[in-house]
Amino acid sequence: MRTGAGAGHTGYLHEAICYDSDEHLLDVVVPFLLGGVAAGEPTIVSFGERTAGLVRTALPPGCPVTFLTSGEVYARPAGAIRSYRALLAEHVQRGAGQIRIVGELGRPQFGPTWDWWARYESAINHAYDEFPLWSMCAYDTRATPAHVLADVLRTHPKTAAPFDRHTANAQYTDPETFLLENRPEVADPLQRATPASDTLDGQPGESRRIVREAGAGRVGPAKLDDLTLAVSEIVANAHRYGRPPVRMRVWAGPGRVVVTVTDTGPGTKDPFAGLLPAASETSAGFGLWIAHQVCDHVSMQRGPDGFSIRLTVSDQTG
Amino acid sequence: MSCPATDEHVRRVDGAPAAGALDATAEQWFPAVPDRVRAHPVEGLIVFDAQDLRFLEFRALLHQQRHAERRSVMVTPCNPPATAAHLVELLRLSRIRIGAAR
Repeated sequence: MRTGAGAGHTGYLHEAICYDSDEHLLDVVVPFLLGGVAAGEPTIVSFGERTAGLVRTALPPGCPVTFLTSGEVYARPAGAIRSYRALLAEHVQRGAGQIRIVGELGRPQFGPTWDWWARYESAINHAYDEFPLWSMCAYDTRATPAHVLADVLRTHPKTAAPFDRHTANAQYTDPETFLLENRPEVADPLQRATPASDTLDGQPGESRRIVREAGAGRVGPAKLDDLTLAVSEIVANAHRYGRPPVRMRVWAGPGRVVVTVTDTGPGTKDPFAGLLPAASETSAGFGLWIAHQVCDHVSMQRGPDGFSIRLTVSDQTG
Repeated sequence: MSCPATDEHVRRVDGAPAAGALDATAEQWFPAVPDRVRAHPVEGLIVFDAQDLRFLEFRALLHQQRHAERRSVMVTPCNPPATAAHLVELLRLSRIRIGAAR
């Protein structure tokens, strides 16, 4: 049985909190958590250190709320979806009628990698919809860029406010539409220079060799292994499902390697490609999902010239 | 786990897939790898030497997982490329246990 705003709701209830003061945040979050505890529902907080501290202080001592470290949960969107789906399945198996989670992304995620977090916020409307989940995603309007807040309203069906108010967001856009739009892509500074390699129609093996050579000594061996794996999958996809020519460019700098793979086809039609594992290993989605799991950032662009994927690994993240 | 070093457990694959790269361009070899390991399962475990494989694609691992499920055994590629362990964990391949990844 579901309680609170989740009562009578089927599947995932996904709300944003757009707060402008700590009091505003606590006025929404504390009743949400206490309501979950009172109903015996698994009640989880996935906040950064400062806001987690605020919430801890505001809760009664010994309150059985679970705190997760948001930095680990939100390292990569596809990883967050994988972890949360496992967690939710476990709670449902134990008989939970509803699970409550409040979470927040860190400020670094509002920077150049925001495009894949916007895709995450949209995709989870589908990815978690098989679970009786009520979650709130907190955004501090004092520190969140306007374009991020605009995406927040397009990816959350509702906004929660103090005094148990839950308002539908008129801007909300179905994931099937949102995820097939091009998200603004911030050019990596490395891309201003001439690429270390620019090749046409290389097969996966040659692409792996090029990336290994260009990235050697630029990022750690594990990061380079991950990038090589991702490049191999994406190049194989481009040959198998895209349209020639397949162009691969590689930029390498201290601590970071960027690879773009472009073909002249329309790109995948699956809006959830990369964020959710494909149903079949014979589709492009599986390789794309692996790339999303191992790279520090993946962005995709569709245009008149074709479909382009950019893969980045960095020693400073992940 | 560590890889048993005796010939009784570790056999090289009898053919091309033992070395090189198992990727999209070598797809025809995916089903062949476990079948061509000459060793019979020992205590429910098929161990083979993957030292000379430079790359192992996820589809090749999925083939090994299915092979192991059919025979109710565990498959252990010994010393495969480091990414193999990552893929096994990501894809939750319960019947593949990587032995001492590089």
